[in-house]
Amino acid sequence: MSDDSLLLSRRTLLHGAAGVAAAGVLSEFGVRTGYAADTGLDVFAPLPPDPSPPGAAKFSEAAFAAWQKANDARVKYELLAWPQLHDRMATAFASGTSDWDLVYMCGWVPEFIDSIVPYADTLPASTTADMPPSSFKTVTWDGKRYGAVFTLSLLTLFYNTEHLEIAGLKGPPQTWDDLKRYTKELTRDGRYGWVLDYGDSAGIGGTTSYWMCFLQQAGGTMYNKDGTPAFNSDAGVMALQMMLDLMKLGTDPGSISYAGINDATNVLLSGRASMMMNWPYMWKPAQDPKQSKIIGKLGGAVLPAGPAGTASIDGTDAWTVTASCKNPDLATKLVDFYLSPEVQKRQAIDTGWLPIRISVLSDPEVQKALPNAAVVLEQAKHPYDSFVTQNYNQITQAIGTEIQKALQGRQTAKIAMANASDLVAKIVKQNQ
Amino acid sequence: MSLLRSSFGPRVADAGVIVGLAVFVTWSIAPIAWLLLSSILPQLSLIDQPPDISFVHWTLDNYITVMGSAATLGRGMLNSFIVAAFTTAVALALGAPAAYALARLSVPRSGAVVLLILATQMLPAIAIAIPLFIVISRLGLIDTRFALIVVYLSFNLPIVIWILRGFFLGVPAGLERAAAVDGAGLIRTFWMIVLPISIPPLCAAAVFAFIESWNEFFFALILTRQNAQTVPLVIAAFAGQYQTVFGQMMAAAVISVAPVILLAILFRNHIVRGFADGMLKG
Repeated sequence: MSDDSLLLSRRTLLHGAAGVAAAGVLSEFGVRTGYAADTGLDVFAPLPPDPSPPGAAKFSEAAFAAWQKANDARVKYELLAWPQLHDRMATAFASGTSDWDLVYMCGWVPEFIDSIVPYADTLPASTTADMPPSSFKTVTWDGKRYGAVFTLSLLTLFYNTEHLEIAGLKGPPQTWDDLKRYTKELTRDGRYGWVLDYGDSAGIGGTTSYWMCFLQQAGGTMYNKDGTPAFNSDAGVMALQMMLDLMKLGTDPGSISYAGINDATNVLLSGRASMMMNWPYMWKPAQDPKQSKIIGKLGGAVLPAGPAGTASIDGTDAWTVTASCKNPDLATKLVDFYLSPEVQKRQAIDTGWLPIRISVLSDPEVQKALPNAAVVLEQAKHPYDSFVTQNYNQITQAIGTEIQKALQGRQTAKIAMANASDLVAKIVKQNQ
Repeated sequence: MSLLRSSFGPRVADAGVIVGLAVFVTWSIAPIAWLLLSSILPQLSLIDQPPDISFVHWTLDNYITVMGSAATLGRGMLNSFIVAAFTTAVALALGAPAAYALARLSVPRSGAVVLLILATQMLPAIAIAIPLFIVISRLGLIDTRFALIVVYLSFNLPIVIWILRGFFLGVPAGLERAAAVDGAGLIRTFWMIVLPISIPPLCAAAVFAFIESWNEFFFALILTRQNAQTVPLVIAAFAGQYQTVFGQMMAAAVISVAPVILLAILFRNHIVRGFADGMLKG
């Protein structure tokens, strides 16, 4: 190519680019309409395959269309990849310019309390009576219910049945002692007994939230009644010591750097680890030959019991109505539709997200499609608290950093708990 | 180099340079090679440890799936292109005269002005996110490409000015004096004499502004919804809370990075010269 022709092509390219860009930018002034003029309901939700409503995810689409027609409502979905939801929501709420009516939440209710309304008590009693009372714990603030959880998402134990069989282990571990023994015995042939993602401290699904499971299993709690930290206790230290013991006995060393549950899940799905705690949704990808090498080899059980029994944390995927909602009654009706037995059943069978309604969880068709439903239902009979507060991210970040140092062998469990408690006490004090 | 030659002899020195360059090139190319390879591997191969990259697993399935959702990716690329092209054009149109004025006119405290312009770069994005969101929202510009262009200009324009000012400072003053003798005014001199010899730094600044705008994620995340979504957001959507579709994400990344690489190849000579001139003389 000669210099001239190159120049010509560059010039043509630039002219063309400028033309397209100008047309593109100018065109939007002609077609743009303001959000403020919209009627109906604007719903902000995660993109599938994360928990998404009917019409956004592929289930109950006909029922959703019929609901809109019957209620003369237009529901517009704004979908975003789950990892970006919080930041966009935080910006919109902080600026006071959110135009959503219904918003998905995941443990963020206390954080965004000023931007949402306590509507959940107005849901029909027939709906709320069919939901586990604990499911309202993470969406309740100052005694008022701000949200309705729509999928029962508790951490339970997942294990590779083939690995257990090879190791001569019968059934899943029942207690902490079992879990430690299993972890040690399953760590062989290039595999690890235990895997989890300890790389990210903050939020539900972060390092701290895993420790919270062990904390409750040890009989501990996070806060005193006055809101000050209560976890620098025997139970808190015991919970972290359990994580440290598992680390030594056969946790995949990569766990320290895995920053999301995806990374840890992939280790289990590729057969490189034998056990992990995970969310119910994992069952579905584990049966997909494109993603899993352990099809038909996955077992589920409630989390092994500590000194105080078994306990878990809640994913808290919930619907909340915003303070700027144009039609709160209609928004509440829409949530009730999302929680209706038929929609809940299709949600479970078609997408893998378990229902929150106990009657649907007990449905034989649901249990057949998702064998772990019975396990999660059993886990729900035991304590589960995610201890969400207005500073949940800040607090879990602080505690998680100390836990990570302990997992790396840089400090003992006792020192880590003492340090974490001091940090949380400061955060609580600053925000009082 | 001459020290190397005198110490070890020409062959050893050449070999050292070649090995050094080879290591550097390999180091630089590795992420791109891994990107390409990941895009043609199935999820199962990618989650293996070590990843199973054997030829038998190579597949175009990820591309086929990504192209299946071409509407989203296509719209993202079009939005990115429009935003990046417009930002670049406006940054050059405003930045070049500003840089020339700061380099040649007797602007009081021009050094301080340049520092002040650069100081705008020192604010972390998160610090201005909420005020910016309020302004854009009140103007009814949320989810418009225009909003992104305005925001991107705010951080591209200072860099463009900085790069071009450095170059203009190095332009021989005799050229401009000769133009003045021939009767050319300031604007004519700038337009007819200075700009035509400034193609390399203009290209360098343009490519820089284009790439910055093309890749920007944070402001695109908070200022767009569905209509003005740019390509980085489309790619990020392949990572969910519980599942990351690595192969498809990489395939989308390969497709989206192609225009930028093409641009860099087309203007590579100008870019190198432009950055060298602009940076060194700045």
